[in-house]
Parts: sequence; structure tokens; C-alpha cells
Amino acid sequence: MTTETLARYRSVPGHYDELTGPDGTTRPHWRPLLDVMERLGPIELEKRVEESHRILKDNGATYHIQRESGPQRVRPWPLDLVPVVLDGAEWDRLAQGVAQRATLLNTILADLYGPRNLIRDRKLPADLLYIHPGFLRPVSGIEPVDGNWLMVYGVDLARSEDGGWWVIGDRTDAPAGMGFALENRLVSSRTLPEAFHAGVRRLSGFFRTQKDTFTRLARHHRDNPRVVLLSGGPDTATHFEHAFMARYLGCTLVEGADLAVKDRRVFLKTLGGALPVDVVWRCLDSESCDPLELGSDSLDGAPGLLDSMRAGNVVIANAPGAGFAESPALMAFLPNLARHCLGEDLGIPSVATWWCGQPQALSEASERLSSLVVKPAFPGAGREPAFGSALAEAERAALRDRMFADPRAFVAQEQVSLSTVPVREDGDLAPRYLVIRALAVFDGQGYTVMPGGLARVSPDATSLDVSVAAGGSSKDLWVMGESDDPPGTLLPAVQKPITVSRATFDLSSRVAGNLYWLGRYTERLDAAARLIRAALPLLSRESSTTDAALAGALGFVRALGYARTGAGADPGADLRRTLADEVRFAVSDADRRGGLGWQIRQIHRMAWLLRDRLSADAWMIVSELLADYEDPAAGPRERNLGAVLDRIVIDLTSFGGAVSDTMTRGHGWRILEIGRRLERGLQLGELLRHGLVRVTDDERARIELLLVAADSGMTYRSRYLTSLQADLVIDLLLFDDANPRAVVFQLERLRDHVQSLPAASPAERRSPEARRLTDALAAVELADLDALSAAADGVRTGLERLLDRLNANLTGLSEDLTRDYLAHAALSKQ
Amino acid sequence: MDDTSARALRIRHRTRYLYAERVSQSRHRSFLTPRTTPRQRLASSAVAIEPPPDGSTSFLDYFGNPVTLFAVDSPHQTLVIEARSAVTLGAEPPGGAPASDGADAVRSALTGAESPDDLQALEFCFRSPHIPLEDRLGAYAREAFGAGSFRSGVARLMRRIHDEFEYDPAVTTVSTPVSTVFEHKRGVCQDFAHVMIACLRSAGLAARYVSGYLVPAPGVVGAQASHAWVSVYEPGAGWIDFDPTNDVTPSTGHVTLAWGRDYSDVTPFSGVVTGGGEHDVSVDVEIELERE
Repeated sequence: MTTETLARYRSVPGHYDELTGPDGTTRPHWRPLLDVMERLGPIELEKRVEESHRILKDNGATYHIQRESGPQRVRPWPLDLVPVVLDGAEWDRLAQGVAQRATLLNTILADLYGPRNLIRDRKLPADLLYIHPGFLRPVSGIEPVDGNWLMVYGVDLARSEDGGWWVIGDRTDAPAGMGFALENRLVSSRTLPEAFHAGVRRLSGFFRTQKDTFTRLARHHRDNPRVVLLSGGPDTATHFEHAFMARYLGCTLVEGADLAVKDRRVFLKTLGGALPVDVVWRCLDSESCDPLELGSDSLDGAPGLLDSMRAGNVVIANAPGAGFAESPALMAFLPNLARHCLGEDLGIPSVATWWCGQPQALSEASERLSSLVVKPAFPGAGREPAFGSALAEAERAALRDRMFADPRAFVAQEQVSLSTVPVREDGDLAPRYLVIRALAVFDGQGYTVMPGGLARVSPDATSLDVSVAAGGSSKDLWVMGESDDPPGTLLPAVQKPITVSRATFDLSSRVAGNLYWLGRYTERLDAAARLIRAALPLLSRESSTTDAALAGALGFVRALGYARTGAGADPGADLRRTLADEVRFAVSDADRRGGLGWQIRQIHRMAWLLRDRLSADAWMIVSELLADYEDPAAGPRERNLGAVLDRIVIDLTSFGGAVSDTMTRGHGWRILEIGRRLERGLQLGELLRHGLVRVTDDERARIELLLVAADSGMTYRSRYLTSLQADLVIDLLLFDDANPRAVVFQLERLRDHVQSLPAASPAERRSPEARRLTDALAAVELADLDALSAAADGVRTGLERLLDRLNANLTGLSEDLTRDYLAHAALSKQ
Repeated sequence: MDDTSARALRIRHRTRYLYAERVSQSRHRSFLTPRTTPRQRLASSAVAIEPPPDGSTSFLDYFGNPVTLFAVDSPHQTLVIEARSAVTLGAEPPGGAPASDGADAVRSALTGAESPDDLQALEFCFRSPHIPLEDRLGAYAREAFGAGSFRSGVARLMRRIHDEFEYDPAVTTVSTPVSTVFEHKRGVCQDFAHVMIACLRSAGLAARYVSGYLVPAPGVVGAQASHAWVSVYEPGAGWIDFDPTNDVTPSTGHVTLAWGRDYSDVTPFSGVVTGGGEHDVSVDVEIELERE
């Protein structure tokens, strides 16, 4: 950026601009950032932008967008490199207003779920309470710890043309934004360190306060309480943030099915047994968190959770039902409620709001419709806001009719003209509309406000919709200068990130399941890629490939399920062309369930879910795996089959290396290894079955392919030099315990791992898993190589029987493991 | 309540779930303990569950109904809940003398909500999970309210529903919307109650859903299972029950379990189970007259 770039920046008339004053001069608190950007120059800045994209990608930062129709889309988290800069003194006033509002909303919630004096004294219309779907009657009468309903609070702020700030929305149920704000901060402090160190307030103190709050809330185990973050799962819009915050704050990321309620206490189901939970940080809406009592159709939560809170055995933050305070209808009454409950005026005014459930408000709103925004009064009403000014007279009349037909369902609000802030666009700066999500946590006495927040900007200079779903972007929010908060309410800024107090994270059954399937999918993909790669040389016109070799390869590809159809070879077809078609299809078709592309996406998904379990390197390798496969620059996949397969095999080998080099040898690693060994054992069994069970005169080519696919060609040649003999191959791939690609090698590793798992049922001397492996190993040890190699009527029946037995044991092992360690049975409601 | 004119009843309510697959654990909520009301006294109540529950807890819910939560952690394919209770019912009708005011006066008392009772009753004037508010439902109710007292108007509405709707256990389920029932004019006691509540609320009046039992007698409908009817609020008089399935004003023939905005607030038995697959449920209610 240069002085000229800055000079070319034009704000939008009629809107306050954060960067420049009305006379076009730069506001002084932007100076440190602008100085650094000018010094860096456009080329370096561009590099920093790329760096920021790389960091976001490496962190797996995404946002899931679910529109009403159509499939869910996953968007990379959008971040504009230029932060929003706010003056410290101005921020302190704003923060006071945010804290006051949190206190007020908490007071209102405590009253409405308690004595309901506000209703009795007519400070709030009774019908607003009774009709509100977020007023959860089963919660009423429960007293949360310290009488605190609102532990975490989010509020959307906008600045009008005259420079004043307004509240345009409250988030009290499960406020999002904290993790994205932190992610944005990590990126901006790394990409613009020179400017960041020029006096930007730190966020870590805020997160320390939050962690302290959770610790203090715990009724039991105060020294080391177990805090879990309850998420709606990987398909939730903000799941990235959940995983990120859980890791940052050292709490366990869970879904409802990870929790069990027993004797009115909440437990986390782990591989090692049930562990008591003290605090549930609820990032799932109130209605979903307990399907037993809170009535929604969702089964995401944990049945019995609310009763555990009723018994005082668990703290749920925010308390279920806190979403009541999100209704824009409440805003109409807040100015009076602030005076009534706190004896103060609101520090930050709410936009003028009319709840149409009151006849007077309805007629006022109706008269001024052309200058107001009309919104649903309650969540879930499913209507977009209507901007009165943008409607034709007939549409306004229709809206009016709807309002009069069901007035309580509507809220009318004045429209705040949002302020503008510069974003980088084609090397220049362009204005976008800004909304700030400020965040606060309860600190024991009052609310501590994050000295920063999540800034969101509109996709262009005409739209006022700043949501990420609408194509908007985000920014870091920099608050400059020392805080003049009185000491004690804000903890001293900490330089390093908060250290995790638990040595290892609890391994929930769900996470264990993901690790197991990650192991299985990587090995399955490895087997597929190696098999198809082994078949590729046969396709070359130059090679003197025999029909027997082509038919053998086609047989493998079909038998192992990588072909389009399982049908037998058409005798009339050109074998080479058929094989080429099938191979191309197997590699390039990205969508077919079970295909290579599908497997790669499953691996990516599992690894994404496990980001906080895998090393950064292992996660990056999986990102590369998907990027390599989907890389459009590499040209069409069908033209580069060999290169695509090579990269898959190399990426998987690196992944295996990263896992074995970096993962702690805990239960998590063990489960992943079990998945890998089990899958490799199954795949080897299938290769042996289709390579060797049927004896034919021309089996030599098939055996060769088998050896290459099983990555044991080199070992074989180094031992037996040239001759290819079925019995020697069987020995190498079944019995050779020095060959990491032999079946017995997998079985022995599996036995060791299974023995080290915690006992699922202590009463049994030997677990069903251990018994399966004992049986499989005994079968292998007692088998006689000559008998296995001998054929009768063209079939090696001995080998077939052994492979059947191994397959049954491994399949059974998977079922046992799933039942005992990985089970996640589905709930149903009746 | 005058005990000499009281009727003593014993109730046995048995619910049996048969699951296609094993349920590994389950959590339930039940409203199976009769609440105490001006005309009903609870002598005893016990709920037995097989397999025996691993913990249960009882308390009064938001509406003052006794509710029990329980957990079953042992694997099972059959779950039996047997609620036994003994109540005495007074014959005296509640609510005092009917006011001569009509529905309009009732509506405006609710809107003003000046007494604490009126303010509480306002809660039952709006839509709730099973109750929609619709103009045609309000019009249906208003046609019953001509001249005359409010209470006689409600009675006319009850009679109209009883006459125009056909009791038919084969056409509806717990999730059939009121608007569908209203169009087809068929259903069971729960549908009759929901329709009447929706009509009253759509006309701006306060009505709640009552879950309970019907004492068997010649000609009464709905005594083999749990029953449901309607309670209507009349300012100054309080809540008065109406049973549109039988066109009667409940007194000693109706045992009250619980009340709420609609069925969803007071479902006698509900739960969340892990596993189980498809299930069959059978309900059996026996009422024994101990003393007339």
C-alpha cells in the first residue's frame, strides 16, 4: 500500500467511515497500521495475504453454509488482511455498554425463569413471554449456579452516520464468533506482526477469564474440573470454531452422544470408561441440548442433561433457555427495563424497535413502514427481514396485512446506516459495510468484554448483509492502546497461549471411532492405489502383455470392487481397452461411493474431525492428498493415472510416517493402528484369494501383479531371485512375520494393541477381541504350507478355507471393537 | 370436598413397549401421577417399571403437574410401566355460579389481565406446539357464542364438536395436525380436545388441555385408555372442564392427571431410547369403583 492507494480510497457518502474523517483525513488510531502497510509495499503485502490464506487453510478454517434448499456447502473462512482499528478510549465506553447489557439480559432471564416479577409488575408484556418459543418451561424454576443464566454473551454493533454505536442484535443462546475472532487474531498477528506489536490489545487475558470462569463454576473437582464443549457435530455452521476453541481452552469437544447421564450426573464416555463432567459449554441451541425434556425433534443433545442441572450436578453455560433474550421483540422494552432493573440508562442504545404485539406499536410501525425493517419477532419463523424502503406500495400493503393478521409475530426496527471500512480489492482499498460482534464472559462479578471481536463486512458496497453465508468476509478487530479499565476486572495480558492443564485429552468413543475409520480408509486407499498402479504397465501398447495377464488384472480390479460393474469379462471385448476403461474410471471418478476419490474425501473428513488429535504435519499431508487429487492444474486425472496414483501412495506413506513419528502412544494411536492393521489384513486376504485360490496354467502373471500390489515384489526377488512359485508367495504374504505386508504381521500387531486396550468388560478373562486374534493366529500357525499350496480340481481349498477363517475373524473383530469401544448407537424418540 | 359424597376410585394404567431390537438404555418422562385439584384428592400413587429403573426423580413441573423422570440402563426388549393410583372425587362442580357476561367480556378481561388469575390464564390464549390459531377456527367458536352466558356458549361449542365430529380411532395419530382433524371431522379424544382448544383460542379465549381417565359408565367413549378433555377459563369463576368427546361437564366421572397448553406438555409417557428399532405399544387402563 502506498500513500496514493490511500488517497484513492473513497468512502460512501451518507455513511461513517472508520478509516477517514469527513474531511478525508486518516483517523489517528489507524496510523500505526497504515505506516507498516506503506513500509511493506504492495508486493510484500500480497505475499502476506497469501501467507494468511495458507495459515487459514492449514488450520482447516471453514464455515458451513446451509441454505434452505440445496446441499450444504463448506466455505473456506474468509478473512480480509486489513484489520478494523478502533480507538481504545472509544472501545472502553463501548465495552462498558456491552457489559451492562449482558448484566441486564442476565437479570431479565433470572426473573423470567424465576419469580416473573417483570410480568406481574407489567414491565414486560405477559403475551411476549407466553408466545415466545424460546421460553422453555421445563427450565423454569431451576436455579443455575450463582444465579447465572448468561456466561457468554455476543452482541452485534453497528455505527450510524453520526458516529454513534447501536446494538442491532443480541446473541444469548450459544453465541458464536469467539473462535473465529481468535483465529483471525492468530492470522493477523502472524501476517502483520510489525503493526500488531505497535500497541494492539491482546485477547489472551479474555480467554484466561473464560477458562477461570469455567473452573470456578465447577461444583466438584475444583482443582481440575472436566469442561466439555458440546457441539452439534461436524455439519454445524461453526464446527471449526468449536474444535478450535476446545483445543485452545483445553476442554474436550463432544457431541451429545459422547455424554451419558447417570444418577443425575453427566459423564463423558471414553475408551477408558465414563468420566465425570463438571461444566458443559453449550455451543448447541437450547432446544436441542436435551431431547428428553426440551422438546425439539433434534437428537443432537444428551437426554437427562437438564435434570442433571436441576440436581445441581453440572453447570451448563449458557443455561438452557437463555436464547429467550435473543428475540428482537425484547429490544423494544430494554430502555425501560435498564432503568427498572439497573437504575441506569442503556450505555449503547438499541435501535428503535416496535414489537407489534402491542396495538400502539403496531399502528406506529404500520404508519412508518417505508422507513423500517420488519423482522420475525422470534427465531424459527423462517422469514427474511423486509426492508420497508425497498418494497413497492403493493408489497408494503401485503406486509401490513400479514402484520395485522398475526401482530405478535413481528418486530419493526429503524434501519441503522452501517459504517464503512476498507478492504483490499485488486491491490486497492474499497469500502465495505461493517458490523462488529462483541463478546463478553462472566468473570465472577460482572462481564469482561473481549478487547477485540469478530468484524464482518458486506460482500460489496451495495449490500448491507454482512453474513458469511451471503458472501461477506471477516476481519480482525484491533483495539489500540492501554486499557483504562480499573484493575481487577481485566486480568493482565498473557503473552503466551494458555497452556493445557490436562496431560492428554479424554478419548471419547466417537473420536476413537473416527480414528479407527481414518486408519481403515487410509489403508484401503493405499491397497487400491497400489493394485491399480500395478496394473498400469500392462496397458502400454509397447509391452508384450499376454491376455492372461490382462484378464488377471481385470479380475483383481473387479473382484476388489473398483470397477464399474462386477460383471465378468465380455469374451469378445478387447481386454486391454476394457482394463484401461476400468482403471481410468476407478481413478478419475470422484463421486462413486467406495471409489478412490470418495475414499480420499472420507479420509479428509475424518482427519478434519480429528484435527486436534493429529499433528499439524499429519493434517497437512491429508490436506495435500485431497489437493493433489483435486488439483485442476495437474490436468485431467485420466491422462495422468500414474502420477495421480504415485502421489496418493507417497502422501499415504508420509501420513503413516507422520502418525508413527508424532502421535503419542496412547489409546488414540492404538485405535488408529488397529484400523490400519485390520484393513491391511483384510486387503491382503482379498488379494491372496483372487490371486491364488483358483489355479490356472497362466497364473504367473497374476501372481506377479499380486506381489507388486502387496508391495512385496522386491522382498520376494531378494529372497528367491527369479522363479515365481505359489507356495513361496503364500509363505511371504501369509506367514513371514518379518514382512510388514504379511498377514501374520498384522495379526500379531493387532493382538498386542487389543491387549493394551482397557477392558470393556472386566469380568471376562479374555476379551472377545483377543479371542478372535488367538483363533486367527492359531489358524495361521497350524496351517501347513504344502497343504495350502496343493490344489484339487483347480482350487486351493486349503488356502480358501484359511482365508475364509481369517476374514471371519477380522470382520468379527471389527464388529466387536465397534460394539465395545466405538459404539455410537442412534437415539430415537417416542 | 365433602367426603360423604365422594367417590373413591382405584386406577391401574399399564403401558407396554415391545421393541424389534434390543434397547441398550432409555430415558423417560411420565405424567402418570394424578394431581390434586379442587374436586380431586390423591390417596396414593405408585409407578412400577420393568426392567427396574436405574434411578428416578419426581417433581412438580411448570404447570404444577407431578412429573417423574427415570432411566433404564439394563438392555431390554420389553418395557412395562404400571401406574397405580387411588383418588377420591367430589361431586360438587367447581367455579361457583356462572357469570351472565358473554364471550366478549371474557375476552376483554383476558386482554386487560388485571387480576393475577387473568394474567396466568393469558398463557393459554396463544398457539402452542399442537394448537394453531386460525380465523376459521375462531369463527367456528364464535358461532356458538350467541346471546347468553359465556359458559353456555362453551357448552354449545362442545356439543357442536361432539355432534359434528365422529369418534374414530383409525384415522389420526398423535401428530395429525388440528387443521386436518377439523377438515375431516374425525379423530379421538385428544383430537376433539385439541380442536376445541384451537377454536376457543382462535376466538381470543383461554383454554387448556387436560389429560386423565374416564370412569367407565354406560355410553361413555374413551374409557379403555387415557382420556383428554378441555378446561376453559372464566374470569371470576376460574377453570371449568368440558369433555367434547362425551358432551359432558366432567365431575365425578373424570380423573385428572395433568394439564398444560396441549398434549405435548403432558404426554403421559415419552422417552428417548438407544437402539430398539421399530416398536409396538399397548395401553391398558382399568378403573375400579371402590366406594360410590
